[in-house]
Amino acid sequence: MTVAALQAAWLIPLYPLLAAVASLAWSPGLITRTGPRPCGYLNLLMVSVACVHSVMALTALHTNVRAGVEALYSPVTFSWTWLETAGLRIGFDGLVTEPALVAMTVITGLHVLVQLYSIAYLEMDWGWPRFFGSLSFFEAGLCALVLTDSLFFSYVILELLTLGTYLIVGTWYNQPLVVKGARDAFLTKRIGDLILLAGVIAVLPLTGTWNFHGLQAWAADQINNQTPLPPALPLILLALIAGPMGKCAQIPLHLWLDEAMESPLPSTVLRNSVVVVGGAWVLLRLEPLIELSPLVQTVLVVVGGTTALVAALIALAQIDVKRALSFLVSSWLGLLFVAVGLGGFSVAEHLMLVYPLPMALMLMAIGAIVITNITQDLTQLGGLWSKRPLMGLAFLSGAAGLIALPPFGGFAALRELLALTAASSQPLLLGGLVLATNALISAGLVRIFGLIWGGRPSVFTTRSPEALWLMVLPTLVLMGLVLHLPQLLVINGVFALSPLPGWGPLALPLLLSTLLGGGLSALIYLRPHPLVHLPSGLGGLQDWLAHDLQTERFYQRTVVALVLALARLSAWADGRLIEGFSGATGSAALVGARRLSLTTSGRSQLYALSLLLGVLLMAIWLLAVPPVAVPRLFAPLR
Amino acid sequence: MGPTPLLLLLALPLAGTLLLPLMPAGLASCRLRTIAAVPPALQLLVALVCWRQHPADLQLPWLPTIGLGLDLGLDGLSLPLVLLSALLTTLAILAAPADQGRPRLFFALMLATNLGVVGAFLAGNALLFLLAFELVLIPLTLLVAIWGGERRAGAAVRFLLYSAVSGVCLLAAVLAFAWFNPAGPGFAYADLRAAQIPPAAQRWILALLLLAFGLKLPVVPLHGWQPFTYGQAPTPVVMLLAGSVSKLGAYGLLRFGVGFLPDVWAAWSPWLAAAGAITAVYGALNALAQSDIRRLMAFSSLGHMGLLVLALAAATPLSLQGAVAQMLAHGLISALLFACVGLIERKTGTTAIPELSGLMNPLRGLPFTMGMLLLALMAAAGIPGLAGFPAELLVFEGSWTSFPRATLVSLVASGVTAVYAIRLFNRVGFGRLDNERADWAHTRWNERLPALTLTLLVIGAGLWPTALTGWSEAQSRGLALRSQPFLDDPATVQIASSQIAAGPITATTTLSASEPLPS
Repeated sequence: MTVAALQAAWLIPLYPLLAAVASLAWSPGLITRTGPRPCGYLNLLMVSVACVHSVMALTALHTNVRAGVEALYSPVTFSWTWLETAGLRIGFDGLVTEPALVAMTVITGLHVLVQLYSIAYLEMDWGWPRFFGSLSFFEAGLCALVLTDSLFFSYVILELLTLGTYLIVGTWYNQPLVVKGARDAFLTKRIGDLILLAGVIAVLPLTGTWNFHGLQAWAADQINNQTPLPPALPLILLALIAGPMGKCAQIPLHLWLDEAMESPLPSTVLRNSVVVVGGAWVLLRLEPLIELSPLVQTVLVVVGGTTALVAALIALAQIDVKRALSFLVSSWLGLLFVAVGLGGFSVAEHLMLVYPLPMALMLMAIGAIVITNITQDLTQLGGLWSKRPLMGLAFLSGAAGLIALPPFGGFAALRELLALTAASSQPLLLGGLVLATNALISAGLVRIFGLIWGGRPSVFTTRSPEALWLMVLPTLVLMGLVLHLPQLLVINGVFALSPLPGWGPLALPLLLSTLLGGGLSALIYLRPHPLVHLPSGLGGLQDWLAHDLQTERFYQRTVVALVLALARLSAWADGRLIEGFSGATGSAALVGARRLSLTTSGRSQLYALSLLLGVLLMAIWLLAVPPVAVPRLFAPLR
Repeated sequence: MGPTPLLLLLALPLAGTLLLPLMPAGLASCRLRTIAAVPPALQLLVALVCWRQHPADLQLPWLPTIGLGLDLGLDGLSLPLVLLSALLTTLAILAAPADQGRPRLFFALMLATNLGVVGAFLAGNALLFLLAFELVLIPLTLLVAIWGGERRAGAAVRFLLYSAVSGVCLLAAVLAFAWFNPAGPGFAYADLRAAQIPPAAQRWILALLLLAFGLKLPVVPLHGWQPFTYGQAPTPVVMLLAGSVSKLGAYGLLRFGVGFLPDVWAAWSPWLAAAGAITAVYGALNALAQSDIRRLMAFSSLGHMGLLVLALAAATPLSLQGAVAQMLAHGLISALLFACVGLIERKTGTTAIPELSGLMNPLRGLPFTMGMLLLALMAAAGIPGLAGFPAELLVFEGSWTSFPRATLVSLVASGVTAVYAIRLFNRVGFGRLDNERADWAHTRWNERLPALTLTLLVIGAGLWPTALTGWSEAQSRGLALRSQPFLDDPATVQIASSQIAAGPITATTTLSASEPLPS
C-alpha cells in the first residue's frame, strides 16, 4: 500500500490541479446558486488528499528498507512526452527522489494549514473560487516543479507560477494599488523568466539535453575530459540564473515581492515561504553547471550578498509589516545564493530546509493581528502582548527558528554557511557579511515584534478582538512543527547534536551577532525610544531605505521610460510614414476615381468606342512589336 | 480514396455563396446565420475525413492553352490550413450578431472569402493559386466597404490598393517563373520545383514574391493597410482576415519561397530574419502605444507575423515546424482575441481602452468574456500551457542556431508582448467598474460559443502541441534548407533521467550562421 503510494507519487500535483480546474465552474453562474464556500471546501479536500499522499510516500521511503534503498539508487521515474517533432523530444521526465518527497510534504502540509486559515481570513469574501483555485494551482505547480527532472519544464512551471502570481495578487482587483502590484509582479518576474527562456533555448544545442541529470553528466564530462568550455557558456549560465533571481526577488529583480504584498495575506504566507523557494530549487539543480564557470559563481555571491545585506537594511525601515517581512525573505534567500555561489550545495540545501516553516509561521501570526486590528501599519500597532500573547509566542517561535539562535532550526544552517564563507577566498568579507546579515535579520524581526506586541496600545489595538479559531489552530499547529524542526533534523541525521543541534566551530560569533542585533533592536523598539526615528542629520537615510532605495523610481526613469519612449517613437513613425503613405495613396485613389467618374457622360456609345479603341491598340501592339522573349511564354497560345 | 473530397471542399462554399442570396428575403437574420454556417461546418468535416483518409490528387484541364489546370492536392502543409480556415469561417459566421444587416449578401461574401482561401491552399498549380489569391480580395473589400466602421470607405480602398499591388506582384512572379524556365512554360508545382532558373532571375522572382506575400502577411513596412482595416472591418471579417487570410502570405512564402527558390532564399535569409525580428519588435512596441483594443490587436498580430518570418528564414526542420505551428496557433489566438473584442464591443459599444475598466466584475461586468480575453492575451504573450507557447518555442529553438541575434531580438519582442497584454487587461479587466455605464446585458451561451470553442482549442493545443506540429512533419523536413546536427545525433538527443551515467556525451558545437545546403 505505502509502496504503491511511492510509485504513484506523480499523482500528487494532479489532485490540487483538479481542484483548481474545478474552481472554474464557480464562475458567477454557480456562485449565485451555491455561494462561494463549497469551492473552498473542495480545494481544501483535494489539498489534504495530496498532503496525505505525500506523507504516505515519504514514510514508505523511510520505513520500507527495500523501497528506500531503491529510491536512493534508482528513484521511481515517470515520463510524459509533451512534444516530439523534427527530432526534438520534450518530455516531463519525473523523478521521485527523497528531497522531492520532503519538499512535497512541506508544500502540501503548508497548503492544508493555509487553506484552513484562509477560510477564516476570507470569511466574508466573494472571491473564494478564484483565491482557493489559485492557491491549489500554486501547489500543483510547486509539486510538479520538485518532481520534474527537466530544465525546460522547470521554466514552464516558473512561468505558470508567474501568471498565477498575477491572478492571486489581483484578487481584490478594484483597488489601484493591487492592480499596480499585480502588474509589477507579473512583469518583473516575466523579465527573469524570459531571460531564463533564452538560456534554456541556448543551452540545448550545447548539451543536447534539458534533463538536469543529463546536464550534470555533461558538466562532469567537460571536467573529466578537460575540454575547453564553449565560450558562450558563462553568458548562457547567467541567463539561466536570471529566472531564479527573479523568483527569489534578488536585486535588481526584487521589486515585485513587496508589491505583491497587496494580495490577501494567506497567499502571502505561501508565496514567501514556499513559492519563492521554487526559484532556489531550480538554482540548486543547476549547481553542477554553475560550478563550471567561476564568473557565474562570483555573480551569484555578489548578487546574493548585496541582496542579503541591503534587503535586511530596507526591511528595518519599512512601516508596512508585510513589506518588512518580504524584504527579509529577499535577504535570507540572498544568503542561499551566496551558498550556491561558493559551491556549498548541502549548505544551500539545509538553508532551504529550515526556511519555509518559520517564515510561514511568522506571517500567519501577523495575519491574525492584521485582520483583527484592521491595519498592517507598524506605527499604528503596539501593546498587544497582554491581549494577543499566543500570536506573539507564535511569532517569536518563528523568528527564533529563522535566526541563528540555538537550539532552534536556523542556527545550524547559518553556522554551516559561516563556516563555508570562512573557508572561501574572502573569509573576512563574506564571513562578516553573514554575521552582519544575521544581526540585521534578527534586528528586523525583533523590531516587528516590538512594534506590534511591545509598547503601549494604540487606537487600533485598544480593542483587539480574538481571531477566529480557524486562524489560531493552524498557526499553533505550525508553531509546534517549527519548534520540533531541530529534533526532526537531528533524528534524520541532517545535523549533529552536540551539545546543541548544529553546534560547532564559529558558533559563538554567530550567536553573538544574533544577540547583538536582536538585543539592540529590543532596546530601541520594545519600549518607545527616540531612535525609532533616526535623526535627520543622517541625510534621509531612513526614508531612502523605506522607499526601497528608490528602485521603483529608478526603473520608471530607465527601463519603463525607455520602452515607453520607443513605443511612442515607433507609433509616431508609424503614423507619419506608414499611415501617411497609405493614407496619401488611398486618398489619391479616391480623388482619381471621383475625377474619373466625372468624365463619364452616361452614353453607352462612348463606352463601346473606348472599349473598341482599347482592343485595337492591344492588337496593334501584339502585331507590330514582336517581342523577343514573349513568344516562348505564349507558345501554347498558338 | 478518390479525389472527390477535394472537389467537395470547394463545392461547399461555392454552393453556399451562390444559394444564400437566393434565400427568401423574409428569413430571419439569425436563421440565415445558422444556414450559412452549415457549408463551412461540412467543409470542416470533409477536411477531417481527408486527414484520416488521404485523398488522391486531382488534375483536370481547365484552360490548357495558358497552362491553367484544376490541379488540386492536399499535403501536410495545406491540410492544417484548410482545417483552420473551415473552422474559422464557421466560427466567424456564428460570431456575427443575431441582427446582422443585409445578411444574405454578408454571409455569401464570407463564404466566397472561404472559397478563395481554401482554393489557394488546395491549388497544385501556380495560376490556380493566383486566381484564388485574387478571388479573396473582392469579397473582403466589399465586406469592409459595406459593413465596416465609420471610416469604412477609406479602409476598403486602402485594403483594395494594397491587395491589388500584392496580386500584381504575384502575377508577375508567377509569369516570370514560367518565362525563365528553360524547360518550357508550366505552372504546376512540380514544374516550378524542377525549374532550373538562372540565379539573377531567381532574385527578381523572389523579390516579387516577398513583396506579394509580405503585403499579405503583412511585414513591416508593408503593413500600412492592416491596423486601419482591422480597426474598421466588422468583427467576423477580422476573425477571418487575421485568422486565415493572412496565412495565405505565410503559406505562399513557405511554398514558393522556401520550396521553389531555395538557393536565393537561403542567400537572403539573414535579411529576412532581420526583417522578421524588426517586424516582431515593431509590432509589439506599436501595440504598446495604442489606445484602441482593435488597433492594439492588429499590431500584436503584426508582431507575431514577424516570428513567422524569422522561422521561415531560418528554415531548419525545427523552425519550419515552428512556422507551421505558429500559423495555426496565431490563427486560433487572433481569431479568439477578435471574437472577445467583438463581444466587448457589442455589449459596451466601444473598444477604446480609456473608456473601459473593471469588466471583471462578476455581476455587472463581462466576467466570462474577460476570462477568455485574459487567456487569449496570455496565449499571445507565449505563456506555457496555451497554443502560442509551443509555436514560439519551436520558432526560437529552431532559429537560434542559425540566427542567434535575430532570435534574441524576437525574444525581447515576446517580452514586450506580455507588457501590452498586461497593460490592456489591467485597464480593461481590473479596476473599478464605471457605475454610470455598467448596465450591460450578459453574454449568452450562443454568443459565447465561437470564442469558447476557440478557447478550448487554444488550451488543447497548448497541452498537446502535436495538434499543431503533427500535420507537417514529413513535408517540412523535405523543405528544410539548414540542418541542426544536435537533433540528429542520437547520443545527444535525450538522456533518460534514469541513466545517469550514460557514458560520454558528444558535445556538439553550434552552427555558425550556417551556409545554405545545396537544394
